Amino acid sequence: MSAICPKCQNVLQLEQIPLRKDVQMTCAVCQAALRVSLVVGLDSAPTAGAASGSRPSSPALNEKRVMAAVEGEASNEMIREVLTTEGFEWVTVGPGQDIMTRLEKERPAVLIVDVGFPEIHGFEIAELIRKRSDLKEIGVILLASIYDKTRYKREPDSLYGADDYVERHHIQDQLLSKIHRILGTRSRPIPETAPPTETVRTAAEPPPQSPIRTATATQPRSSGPSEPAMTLDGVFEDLLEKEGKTTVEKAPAEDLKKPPPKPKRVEDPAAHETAKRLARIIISDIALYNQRAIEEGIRNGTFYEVLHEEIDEGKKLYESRVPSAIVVSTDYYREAIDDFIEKRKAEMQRRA
Amino acid sequence: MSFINYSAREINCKIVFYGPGLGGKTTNLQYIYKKTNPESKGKMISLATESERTLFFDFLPLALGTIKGFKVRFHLYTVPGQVFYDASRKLILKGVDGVVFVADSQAERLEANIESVENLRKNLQEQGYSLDGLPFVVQYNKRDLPSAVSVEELNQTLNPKGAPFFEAVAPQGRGVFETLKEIAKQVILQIKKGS
Repeated sequence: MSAICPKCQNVLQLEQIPLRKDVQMTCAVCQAALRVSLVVGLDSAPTAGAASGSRPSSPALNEKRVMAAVEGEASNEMIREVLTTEGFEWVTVGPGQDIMTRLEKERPAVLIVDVGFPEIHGFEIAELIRKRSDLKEIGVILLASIYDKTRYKREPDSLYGADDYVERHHIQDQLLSKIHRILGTRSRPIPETAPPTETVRTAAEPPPQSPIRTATATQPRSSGPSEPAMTLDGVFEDLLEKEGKTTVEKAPAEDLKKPPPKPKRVEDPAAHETAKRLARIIISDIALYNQRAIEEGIRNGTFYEVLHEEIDEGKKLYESRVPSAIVVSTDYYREAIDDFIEKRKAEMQRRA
Repeated sequence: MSFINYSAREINCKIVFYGPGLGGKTTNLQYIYKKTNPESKGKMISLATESERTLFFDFLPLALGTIKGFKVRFHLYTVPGQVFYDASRKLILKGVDGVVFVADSQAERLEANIESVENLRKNLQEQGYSLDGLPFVVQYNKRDLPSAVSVEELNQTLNPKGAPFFEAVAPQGRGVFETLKEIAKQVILQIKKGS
């Protein structure tokens, strides 16, 4: 029986087959201290965890296998194309299937999961995976939608345990590099031999408990079935008598089309914190609708020039809603803008 | 209040989709418009600027059936969500029968959500309404974005009275009809109570 040193990939010959007890040994090539234990009945190659390795090895993952839990034929097809041209094995799990059970069975190196997967959110799956000692090495990439490719984009604050995320329209140009980055940064042992019926695992630290195969309970989401009803028929049977006549309405009254009058001055006693919050919301709104101008202004140092109309409009609103004593004493509006510029600048530098 | 036209035997109800800018209010209406039986809907009016923001409102009439021989029509409106357009929002809220609050689930829009729900409460009060007495549904939209805040946290912040709420991904239609059905149900029950 043999095992593979995770540090130098040296094949270790074992004279004794460890049964219930772990065996301590040293790699003859790199001198790494190893702990070897036997795992019976797993469909994976012998692997070992090095003394210096941070995580003990679980049954090996298939480094060439990527699983996609993604809604929509078009997205799945795009992912398949990208993966297969690079030699990855592509497996899918669809709505209604238990993703965790499939992960146990398929043991992919990476999971690509829709953030809005019907039964369970992508980030909830990421959290579940990270809690499982036998699955936590799986790389997780969240697949996110984006509403406007150019204007409406922000960096997420948290990926809930996922390694990365990719937006739907960047599958073709970003997904592969993200997968490679995950695989490259993981010090995961690579299986080199055919799957045996018995697996020997070595680890410097006490091995994890045998994988516990537990059913994954998923909460039904409050929005109900994933496919929305397409009409309202039948919904109000107890409330309404049906009538199927065509109805066409006119537009609402003309007075609704008038331009909004200037906001009235609001004397708000909630003072400084309210003023600060209002200032942040105004700049947040400006940013939301002027994404390109914002980035251009920050990049070229012309933020106030490029957006002077919006900034002036926002200032008027701010001054109309904040008590004049506060407006005069502290310019929270300007502070909020400067703070926003700093944060966005840092974000742009991170992305670059 | 719902407008009852006795000669035409019609009841017209006004439902307003309220919420912060670019939160998905228009997308809700667009999806409803796209997926509703042509015989049940009128022309959708959308007044937006070139940059796609809703400047004044969107409007979609829907016919649902009859109550006691009166045709029931729902007029769906959205408001401009940006904090700048408070006057338009007040105007659109006049005569409202039910409100759907479309919240943007992203963490960075939490303050804008809070501001918007407070603004809704205040604007209703100015017109003699109370949010607690009106049919009201909350929709947490953009659940598929990575920075979505948990529903528990959103409920604590935006929906402390525990109004019915739904998670949604409006461009895909998830949660859209569920939200509409719930608000329509509440409005109809209110009308029935009144009659």
